[in-house]
Amino acid sequence: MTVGWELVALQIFNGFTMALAYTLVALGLSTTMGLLGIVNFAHGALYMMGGYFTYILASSMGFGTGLACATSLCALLGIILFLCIYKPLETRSPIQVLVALIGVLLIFEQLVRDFLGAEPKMLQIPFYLSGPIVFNLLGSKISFSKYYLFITVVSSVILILVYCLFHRTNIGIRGLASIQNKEVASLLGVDLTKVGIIIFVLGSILAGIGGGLLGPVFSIYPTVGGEILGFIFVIVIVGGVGSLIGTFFASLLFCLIRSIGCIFLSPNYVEIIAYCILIAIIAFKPRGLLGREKVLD
Amino acid sequence: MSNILLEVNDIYTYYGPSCVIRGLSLYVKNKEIVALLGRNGNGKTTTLRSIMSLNPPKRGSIWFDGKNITGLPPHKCARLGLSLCLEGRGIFPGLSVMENLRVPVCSDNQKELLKQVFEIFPELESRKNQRAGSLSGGEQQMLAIARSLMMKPKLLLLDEPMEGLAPMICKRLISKLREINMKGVTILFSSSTAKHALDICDRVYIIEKGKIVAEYSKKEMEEKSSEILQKYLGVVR
Repeated sequence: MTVGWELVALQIFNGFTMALAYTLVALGLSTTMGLLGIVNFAHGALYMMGGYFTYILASSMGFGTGLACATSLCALLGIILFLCIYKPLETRSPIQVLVALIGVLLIFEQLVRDFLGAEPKMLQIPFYLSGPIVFNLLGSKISFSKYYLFITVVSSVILILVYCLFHRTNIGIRGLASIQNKEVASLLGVDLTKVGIIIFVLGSILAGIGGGLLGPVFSIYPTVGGEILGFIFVIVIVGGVGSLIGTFFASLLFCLIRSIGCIFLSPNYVEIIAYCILIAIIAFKPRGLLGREKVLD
Repeated sequence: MSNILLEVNDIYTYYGPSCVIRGLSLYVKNKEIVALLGRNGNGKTTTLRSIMSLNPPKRGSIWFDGKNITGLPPHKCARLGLSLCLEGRGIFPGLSVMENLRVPVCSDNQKELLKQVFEIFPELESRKNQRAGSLSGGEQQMLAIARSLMMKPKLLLLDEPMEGLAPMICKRLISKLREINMKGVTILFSSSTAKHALDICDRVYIIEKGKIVAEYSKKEMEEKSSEILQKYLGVVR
């Protein structure tokens, strides 16, 4: 079988795009996980709601405005979840908080199933983002999806903004400090409730925007949040909890294996190979790809 | 006694069902350096944690600068001018030195405070972009104290500040603490070794089984230090 390099280049680009989108969602999980100390299952619900909100709002107000409003609604949901679920259970054992967060995911799944139905919904790509863009590369024409290019630009801008928030502003630095050591942060005058709300809002925004952006790529259905959570969790662990750069590289590795592997093998085998590689990384680098203690780099 | 900055009155603190602090009382006057000496496991750390409400007392009261701060959340205590450096330094290892110094919340101008802190700890300025986790033990302790100073505290609480540091570093740290005290910051620190503590403090409390069992002035400590150390700390100076 001969494979043209144009196809490989296209798949690398597609893998890179997906890696950026998954990094967004994984980063949201990573920050809330850092604060909670446990897996935030509600993150899956927020991803799913981001997709559904965008699906509903985009039909009346257009894709861009719909995505922005859907993200705002997810941020609001994040505040509600923090104040109504996490804050009252803060002093309870982690397993109790974990069960409550699983409950949140299941409640949202059921509510969506009841109100919007269980069948998958396909978010329509707006006309100005549909179709390919053709590049002339080394004498060959390669056509990239306009929408994938849009995902790349939006995700890159958001990741740069998140990096600047955590390293250029006092509130971001205080958030990072709280993720590392809540007790010491409170001794330095940091109000953990305020910081908790900010981190939950940020995590919810990242989950919501991820759900909205990936909605037109994959379909949206009630259990999509729970399904993506497993994959995202693996990225967070392989990248190192709280590491922005590690999360991106883990995501890139996984997405490139998937996209390039699919040229040569059946997607099922590619998934198996990808997870075997990730298990090997965890076995040999238990602290994640970067192998050192870092919080959002 | 309006000169008193911190007053701890008959506090009882528990870990679950076990009472760790049993009716402890102490006071610290403005601009004093006071040491809380005792063997390990006698309640020094818990006393400091109780003052900052990390483990709030179930009985008794704590007054700071004329205000009752019993059970006040730690971040509110900190904003009143109380600062605690935990044992083991408690720095944020994944953040840079500069980022560690930007964590404290203070209404004063941060740039001005940074300038003042770097005057006391010039070694930190040259390492401001270095990851805090890669600093030596002594530098991490300096960073923890410098970070507390970024809140412009009236009272600095230090839990075992000399623990695990080389004698040379301890001497440097003591001179830094003197300098900080000269600038008007009151200091209360705990220690299980009296060697360096007695060189710097104005008064000493001895804690045993969660209670203050003795209090000595600097003069008394100088006169009968060997006897006190052997009796309460099991060491000969």
